[in-house]
Amino acid sequence: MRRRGRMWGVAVVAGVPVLVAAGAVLLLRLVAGVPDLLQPCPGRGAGRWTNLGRAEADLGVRVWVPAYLPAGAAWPPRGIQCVRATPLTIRVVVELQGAPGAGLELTQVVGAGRVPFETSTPAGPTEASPVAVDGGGLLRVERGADGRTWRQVVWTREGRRLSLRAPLETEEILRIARSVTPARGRREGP
Amino acid sequence: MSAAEVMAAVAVQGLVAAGMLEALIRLWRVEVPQQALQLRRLALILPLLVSAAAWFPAALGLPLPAPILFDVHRWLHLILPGGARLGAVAAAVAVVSAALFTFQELLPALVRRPWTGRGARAYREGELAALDAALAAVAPAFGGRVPPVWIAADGGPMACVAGPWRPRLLISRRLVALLAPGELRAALAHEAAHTLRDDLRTGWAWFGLRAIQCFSPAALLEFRWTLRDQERACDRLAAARTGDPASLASALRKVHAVTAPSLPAGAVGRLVVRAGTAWEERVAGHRLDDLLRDELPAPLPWWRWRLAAAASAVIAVLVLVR
Repeated sequence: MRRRGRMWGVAVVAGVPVLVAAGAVLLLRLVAGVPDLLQPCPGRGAGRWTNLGRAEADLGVRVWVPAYLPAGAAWPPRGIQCVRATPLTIRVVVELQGAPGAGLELTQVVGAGRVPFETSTPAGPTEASPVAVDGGGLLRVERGADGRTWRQVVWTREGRRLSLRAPLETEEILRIARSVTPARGRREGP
Repeated sequence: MSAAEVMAAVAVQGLVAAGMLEALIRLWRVEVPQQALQLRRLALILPLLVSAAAWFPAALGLPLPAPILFDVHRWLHLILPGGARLGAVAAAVAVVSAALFTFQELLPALVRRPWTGRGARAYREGELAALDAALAAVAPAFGGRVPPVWIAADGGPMACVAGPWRPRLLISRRLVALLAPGELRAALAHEAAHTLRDDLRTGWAWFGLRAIQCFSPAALLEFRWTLRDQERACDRLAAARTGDPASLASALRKVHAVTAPSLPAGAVGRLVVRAGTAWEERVAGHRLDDLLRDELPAPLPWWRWRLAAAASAVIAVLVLVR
């Protein structure tokens, strides 16, 4: 009985601080993610831009954009967004006329680290197929919630991992993907 | 790391440490003031120690190998809706809270008639029979460790111990006239308890830690609570040595009632005095409740182990906050 009481005492003395520490770690872990929700890229300006020059100045890197855009695409882009600070992930959204609410999304990841899109062919049955963009890319076709057929091209160029997603035909989206270049190179388009 | 980042890290660590230690005080049901005081003092010292332990190696190019769970730097640079930086808002909150704390702590002294101790001089035995009798009763209870008594002729009824290195027991004539013999004995025992516990000398060191962390609201709050614990610990010690808690409670009530401030004419002045009085009454109420408890709780067992476990748990979490 006395031994049991002693065991219980030890459990209270050692266990309660461990529980409190675990609770604190859990709480800190939850709270630590809040800046990502509020502003994914702290220290890099507002995190959202409509002006390419301003975005590049705040981000400290060149933002790549398509040199070719199909007819009906609105330029300048509807928005440039810093999605994540590490690795630096930038998304450029271009409005497509005739497709309200649906835009052309170009996501680019600068540096090593996790990317917010699939970069390899998944195992098993898939609609992904290899395509020729900068020596190797992947095309994925999916049915969007809006009922449209969306295509996504994923490829790597000069170490920058890119994803282009839009409700466009295969030839059109590949042509746009092949034209992606640093912003100053953009000549062609609507 | 910039100075602002170090200060922000200490403030966040202070908040985490205070939260953890207050949780432990409640979960362990720490009711003995001295034990609560020791736990709360950990919340004052550990954030500074952990920050220093992280900062010095980092300054030498040897960062701590522990991962960062909570990155204070990211929070500081967060832009709030409207364009304000969270770091600037946090700095403003720290300044306002430090000002509020200081104001609230000074308020009771400002609204009551200040007793400066002007004209105080060494007390000569035989001057006041009531005081001689009280001193004669208290000194044996504290093993003769009652500091030299100084007496002041003017000012309100007051007794306090002053001087960290050579403490003196300052008493006003009005206090001796106001209190009954038992109450006077209890009041002197409370002050002698401060000397016996060496509260003044250690108090300056803890006040220094509080001053260093004046930007940390959690540290300010914890320091205030340690003072409250200290007073309660002295009350209990005095009551235990004299065996008369009721007289000490009665003395506290009398002094509190007599020194109650009169309301000034201006509306702002009235508001300030009412706020100060309400705050002081709340604190005094808690103290009296604690003093007059029917059954005093026993100290928790294995206290050193508990302290070590609490400190280890807090340090383990604080190293993840930078």
